[in-house]
Amino acid sequence: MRAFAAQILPSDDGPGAVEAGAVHFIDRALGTSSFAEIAPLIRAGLAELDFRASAFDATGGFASLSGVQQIAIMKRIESERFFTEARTLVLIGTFADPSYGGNIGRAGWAMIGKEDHDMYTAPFGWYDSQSGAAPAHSAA
Amino acid sequence: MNQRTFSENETVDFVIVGSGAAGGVLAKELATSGFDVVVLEQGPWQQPSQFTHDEMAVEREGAMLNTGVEPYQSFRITDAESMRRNPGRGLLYRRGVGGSSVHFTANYWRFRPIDFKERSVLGPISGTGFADWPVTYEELEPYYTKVDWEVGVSGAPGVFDPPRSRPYPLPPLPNKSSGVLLERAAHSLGLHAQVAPMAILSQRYDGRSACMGCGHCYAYGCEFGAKSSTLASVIPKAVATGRCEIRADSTVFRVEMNAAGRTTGVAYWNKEGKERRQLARAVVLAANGAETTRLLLMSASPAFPHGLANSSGVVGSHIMFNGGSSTTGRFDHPTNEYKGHVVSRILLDFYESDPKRGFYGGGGIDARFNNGPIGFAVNGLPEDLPSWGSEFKRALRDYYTHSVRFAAHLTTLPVASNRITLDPEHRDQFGRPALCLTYQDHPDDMETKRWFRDRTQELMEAAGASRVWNQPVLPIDSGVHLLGTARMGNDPRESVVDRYHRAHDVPNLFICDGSSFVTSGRGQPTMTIQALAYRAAEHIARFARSHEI
Repeated sequence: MRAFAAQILPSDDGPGAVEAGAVHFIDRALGTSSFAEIAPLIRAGLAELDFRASAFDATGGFASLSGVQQIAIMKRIESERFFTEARTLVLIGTFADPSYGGNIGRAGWAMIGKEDHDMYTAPFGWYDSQSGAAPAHSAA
Repeated sequence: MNQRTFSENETVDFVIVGSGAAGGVLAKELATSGFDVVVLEQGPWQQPSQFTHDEMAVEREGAMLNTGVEPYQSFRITDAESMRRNPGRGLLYRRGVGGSSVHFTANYWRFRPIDFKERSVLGPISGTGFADWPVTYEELEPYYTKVDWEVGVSGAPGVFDPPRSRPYPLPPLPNKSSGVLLERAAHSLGLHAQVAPMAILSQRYDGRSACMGCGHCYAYGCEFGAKSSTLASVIPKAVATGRCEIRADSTVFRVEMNAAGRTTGVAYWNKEGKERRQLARAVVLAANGAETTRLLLMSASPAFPHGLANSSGVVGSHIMFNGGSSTTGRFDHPTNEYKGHVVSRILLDFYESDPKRGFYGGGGIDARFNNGPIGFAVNGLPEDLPSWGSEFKRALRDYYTHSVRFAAHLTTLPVASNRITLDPEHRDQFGRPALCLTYQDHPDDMETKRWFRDRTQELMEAAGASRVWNQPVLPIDSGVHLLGTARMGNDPRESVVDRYHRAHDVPNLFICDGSSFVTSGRGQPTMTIQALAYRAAEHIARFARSHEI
């Protein structure tokens, strides 16, 4: 799962899904009622990844493959339900409220540039910070 | 909250079913007028401090929605099909004190005079129940103004506004990047962006806090009480009269009748699932267009074999949701739309139906971007971008804080065969039959969505977006605006309630919520639901005082 998550949101130019704790979230989530229904699908899908890895003569399963090999396998299964559900789990684990066990240190929100405050004051973005914007049309 | 309580054996003046946008207003007005009122609400009484920003719970698991509690709803496109599980999200509303006014976005557009008389102006539309309302804008205007001042609406006069008798009580909320970009687009196309009226406090008002800009209006409850839900605005005032009890966790399943054809009160299940009754001199249903329908259909009896107050056969029919279509754009500089209220500018140039377009339909366009990080990551990017890997990660960063959506909020036509019925094959935890939606978009409604999608695309290009992508135009299977299922009218053969919201068939039964709508308006119904509720309360109180109930 860790290797899969690392390919969904890689740790290339900064923290990815792994640093955000997505795997920790998924371990916890699969034991809860919200995701219990898909737990067998996820386990079977991960076993399938390891099985497909054997085609590359890997002895350590999917995780032991090179990134290029992992991506090649994932491209072959990206329309399968396992892939869709596992991808969604990685994204929830990365971006959900940290109370669920992922998004550690709000790393997921930092990854997409979202500040983390309970309140914000205007201006909020660049365009509203610029003066001279055309005024709204008001009634005479 | 300390409140007066009433015994179930006590016959109160009014029992109101539902505590949302309409029920909260009716409770406050009738209690203030000196009547004893019990409000039965099927959900819990949460306090604002209990609301969270938890996207997982709220947006993915439906913590604020009926579907989180009662997941099964049925659907079919036409009567010829068998009922199946609704493939979409279903008929959506919140259970709890304040109803859906707690988690709504708080767009508070008034209807315009044309909305009430379109049938007379445009003529009939075949295959529909297109009709004039039995009230006019001019009659409703004082109550729109009352809503502005009672619940707290922020805004400023706009070029397309209908006449108003009093200014907004609060200045506009700050403009956002989305609003600035809509203004730019409108200016370059010769159109007119205007300030969005929002039921969110831009300043302290009536003892409540101003908006803190937390960015969680859409789908969430406001923990500051700055969003003008009935929970934050009128319900505390209803309770403070000492004549109103809000009885939460009370699920009404039958309106009870006597041999004289009058209602005597309602039967409900309490929190423990025990059957209870509340006697009342009159009953007011304000349970929303879906639950009001279910309750009337479940209250069928030998005298009303097709459902209570349904001699016309139109209870549940003519449901309207307000169609929608939208275009999203990515801009070079940050928009940071996740901050603050959702909408700051709207564009109403295409509000009226124009026969030159060749189909019926009109609407308004707003500027926003209300995706949470999870929802955006799962399916918010343009479809041609990678959905995983390094480029995906980069795109999330490039788009999440730089995107804006122009969303159109549209008319839907009232069609008799589009309706809510009961599905006895599936039942909730109490044994109530599930809601079944039968719905097929009128061809003009699909045309309207496509036409507006072209307009939002033009606007997005004119705004200078570096990347523009459209959301698909889809048929409706779900909705949050539950309108028209107990329509008002002067003719008892074609409508459920009269112009004062009294059921044609039952003299002491009133129905006032989204179900009362005759036509859909353009997108934002809550302001009109509340104006109707203030007007209805005034007339109901008058009838009660003069012994005309």
